[in-house]
Amino acid sequence: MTAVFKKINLNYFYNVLALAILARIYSDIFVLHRWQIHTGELFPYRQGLLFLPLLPPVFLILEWVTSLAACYFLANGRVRLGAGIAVGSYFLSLSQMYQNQKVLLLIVFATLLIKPVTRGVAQEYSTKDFLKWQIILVYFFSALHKILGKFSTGETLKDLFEKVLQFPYPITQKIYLIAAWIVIMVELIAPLLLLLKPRAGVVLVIALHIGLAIVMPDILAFSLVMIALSMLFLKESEA
Amino acid sequence: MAVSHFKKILFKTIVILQIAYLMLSLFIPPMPGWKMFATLELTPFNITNLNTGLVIDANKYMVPVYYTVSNDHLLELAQFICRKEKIPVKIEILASPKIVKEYSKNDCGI
Repeated sequence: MTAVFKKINLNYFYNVLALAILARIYSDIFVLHRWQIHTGELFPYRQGLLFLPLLPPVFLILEWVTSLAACYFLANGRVRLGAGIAVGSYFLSLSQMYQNQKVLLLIVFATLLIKPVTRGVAQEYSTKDFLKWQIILVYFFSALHKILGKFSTGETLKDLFEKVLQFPYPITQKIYLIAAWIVIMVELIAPLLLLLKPRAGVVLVIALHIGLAIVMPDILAFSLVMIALSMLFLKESEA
Repeated sequence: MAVSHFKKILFKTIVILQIAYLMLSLFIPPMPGWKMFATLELTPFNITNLNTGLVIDANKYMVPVYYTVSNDHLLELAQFICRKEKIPVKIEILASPKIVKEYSKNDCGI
């Protein structure tokens, strides 16, 4: 029975990562309209890294096809192959449009390419530890940036809801301020909870990121990667 | 075993380098980092068609969802519209201080 749970644990991790890849393709097509950027209809917002020019649409098809292949191999247990293809795909993608979530995906898949997370063998813990560090660093530095930036004043949430999401109901400045500090506190508490009370930590991460993905569907892939990484804190028999 | 040991050292080294990089990114704004929604840059602006004097709906040329657009991005957006529609345009970025720039067809490389 324990062995079954061990297997389920890692399958969940890889399946959620595979879902994150699908979510990225969905976001590219339906939320960010990247096809129209490559055909010249839309302004190339967020230029890519590596200083490459905007490539013809055929490269976008190549990016999506390789992403789908990576998703297929990951979901079918061919982790190294899937991760290798994903690394190539996200390098190409980052050269065209920079997004933090793609950087996180690239880090995760490059790690899995070097050494996949496998079932509870002590020597494999280095990959797991490294990936656990990633979610801790994301939350911790994201919270620090928010404290040092305008977010901590509530202004950023106000702009997000009023200018970007065009939320139809009036919200007072005080509520924006309280909400901003709740987000910051959750980001600071989440890593601690994952370390000390993994199950509660995973529940918090899932609740936070499902909420974020509902409000901002373009970050669904990021949400899924964070959920997948949080699962690594669970003991293998707990998943 | 030696390879496994090497990978452990590699992962630990990368984490230390990452922390150092992320510390730097806290204080050097242009450096990419985990800055998700720390600050939104959504300066109001107008782009005008200089042939007709009418304000252009710039959202038609932007991706549907965006959170941050720098002044440099907005100037590039104005050039993009000028090039795509083959019209001279004027952009006013309503920041402090206000930035106004005109792009003729020559400026857009038409």
